[in-house]
Amino acid sequence: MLKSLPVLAILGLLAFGFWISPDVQVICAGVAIFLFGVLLMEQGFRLFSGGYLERALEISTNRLWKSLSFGILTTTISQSSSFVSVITISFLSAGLMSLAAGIGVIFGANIGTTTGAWLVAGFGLKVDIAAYAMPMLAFGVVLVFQSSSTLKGLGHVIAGVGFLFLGIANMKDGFASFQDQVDLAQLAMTGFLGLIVYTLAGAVATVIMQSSHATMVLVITALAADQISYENALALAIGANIGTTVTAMLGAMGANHQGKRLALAHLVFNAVTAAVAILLIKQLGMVVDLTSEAIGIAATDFTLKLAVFHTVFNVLGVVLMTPAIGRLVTFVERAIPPPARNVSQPRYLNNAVVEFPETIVEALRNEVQRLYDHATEIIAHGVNLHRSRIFGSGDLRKLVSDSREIIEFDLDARYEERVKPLHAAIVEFTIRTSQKLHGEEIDSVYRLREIGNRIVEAVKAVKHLRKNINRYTTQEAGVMRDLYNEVRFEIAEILREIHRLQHADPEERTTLWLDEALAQLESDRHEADQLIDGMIRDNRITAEQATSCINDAGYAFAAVRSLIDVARELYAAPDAALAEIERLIALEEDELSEIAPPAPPAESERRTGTDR
Amino acid sequence: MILRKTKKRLEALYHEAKAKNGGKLSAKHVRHILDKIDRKDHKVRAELAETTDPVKRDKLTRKLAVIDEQRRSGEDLLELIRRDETKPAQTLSRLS
Repeated sequence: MLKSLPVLAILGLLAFGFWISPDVQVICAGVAIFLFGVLLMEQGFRLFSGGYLERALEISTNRLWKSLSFGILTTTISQSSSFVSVITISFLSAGLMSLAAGIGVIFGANIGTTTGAWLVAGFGLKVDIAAYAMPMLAFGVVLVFQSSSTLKGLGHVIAGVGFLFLGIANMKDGFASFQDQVDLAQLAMTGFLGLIVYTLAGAVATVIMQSSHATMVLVITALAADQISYENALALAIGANIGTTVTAMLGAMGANHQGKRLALAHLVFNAVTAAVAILLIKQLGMVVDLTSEAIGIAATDFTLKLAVFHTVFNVLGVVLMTPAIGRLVTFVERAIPPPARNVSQPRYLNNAVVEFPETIVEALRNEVQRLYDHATEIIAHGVNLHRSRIFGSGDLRKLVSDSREIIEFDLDARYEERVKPLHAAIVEFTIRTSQKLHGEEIDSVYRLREIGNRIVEAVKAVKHLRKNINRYTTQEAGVMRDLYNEVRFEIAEILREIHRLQHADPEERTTLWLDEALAQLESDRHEADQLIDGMIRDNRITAEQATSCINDAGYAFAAVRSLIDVARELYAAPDAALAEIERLIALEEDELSEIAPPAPPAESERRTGTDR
Repeated sequence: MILRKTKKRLEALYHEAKAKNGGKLSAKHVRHILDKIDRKDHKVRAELAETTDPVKRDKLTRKLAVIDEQRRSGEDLLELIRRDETKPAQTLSRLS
């Protein structure tokens, strides 16, 4: 009930306004149509960009000027800083970009959003904008009904712009008629109090409408109709900048700590910019007058002067804050520390990444990588070895034979804590997001889910081995200890190979290296079979011991095979075509058998062959 | 006994991959991978020349056999892609 109070208050206020004057209805309908246009444009860009926007963002993160330019350009084109904020939070949450780069994009978006004021003040008020809106709506709707997602997206964008224009025209008409009945200019307040009151009013209006752009349009149209004073309009513009951070805050609610940090950085940036603008309002007013004069804007053209002010103070904010990005990053990192490491909870799979296909796939890949990291710890400890030593450069065979102490831990409990919940989260996430994906992306998501399954299979295989490994690791020298050390060695060796692949120079790295490990595995399997056969023949082990050995060797090879499949997917070339070529060149089962020495035929087979 | 991936099988796999990737696979990509294979080949050969331990030698020889097979498949694939890439040009020249 408490939650719905603000909504009820807004609805009540609207109803009161509609009762007082039908022109309020026209103005509010204008705002509603304008916001609907923004929503349509956002939808259109999602469909129309076909991943270009996301790919551009991916390559725009290595330099600050690139992040800034990306923010300016995309906000200018999409006319929605909220849309750009949502993409940025999504990319940040998926681990695709750094916090500093994200802040750069948000700074750029603040400059980009000022183009809206220019469009409305310079074009929207000077021409019959509704005349442009009608054909746009008609063309847009025809395209919206096309099956091609590009045309559909284009249709949404064109119809969205049409609605924006229609909304502006309604607001303009509403204020024009409204001024004959009510003179809001009587509410004008001068001095510092006026500045503060109207700044707050601008912030509240933006929070309610969830769009600083809508507030600016409302302010410009009201200013054009002399319903508010120029001085108060400047304060409302400052307030709109503060209010827009609330949209980012709401967007970051479902994001991880990185997304929340970005929203806080946005709030700090806009609050500092607003504070500077309030403190230097007189000086900024002079700068606006001088700039306007220099670019030929009449001294009485207050709407265009408001657009100049909006640009000047946002650019000033970026100029002031850009050198302090490092300190801003440190501040927000301290203010929002990463959550306590909960190994059972997914780190990358959150609501913010569900927004875009690229972020869905990347977040899933990062989470599967995390699942693999958890699994390798259990697998290494399961065979009584420490990862730090496996991943070192020492002689692995010697490490295995020297490591004779059991690493005490409850494998089942560790599995329940570190693997099962993450695996469940991965499965749930793929089901939840697969409806939003198509073609290549859906293939990637299902391949990653399958990789999650293979990781679990590897852990379970080691779980089966653990009992006998513990039994024979501690035993004095003997054939069974040697056999189980061989099993431990196989697992440790593949963990080391995968670790090397993971940390190799990307220029040299290729998953084709895993073929060498597979061929070695095939060869070792044949050798192990021969060895066990020989030991039984020579009565060095009992049939029961041989059965244990054969079963456990089977589990070990299954674990290794699963780990190789996991690595092949996780460390495939990032370029889809290169990854496909790696898959084509990779050896197949029969080729691997050819390279590994074939096992000698069993005694019975040999006899059958002779008989024949 | 030829157990290595036959050209026919490779061709089938290639056409399948090409359909999936919208014709993005190029000779440039294959050459990039073949270069990596060559560098690995040199590295393993150098290691083999320095190793006297028979177990290690056996392992390295197996690695070289794998690399050799991969190179053969890569070269076959390169030939397939080159043939594919020159096809439209040939058709055009015939038309003109």
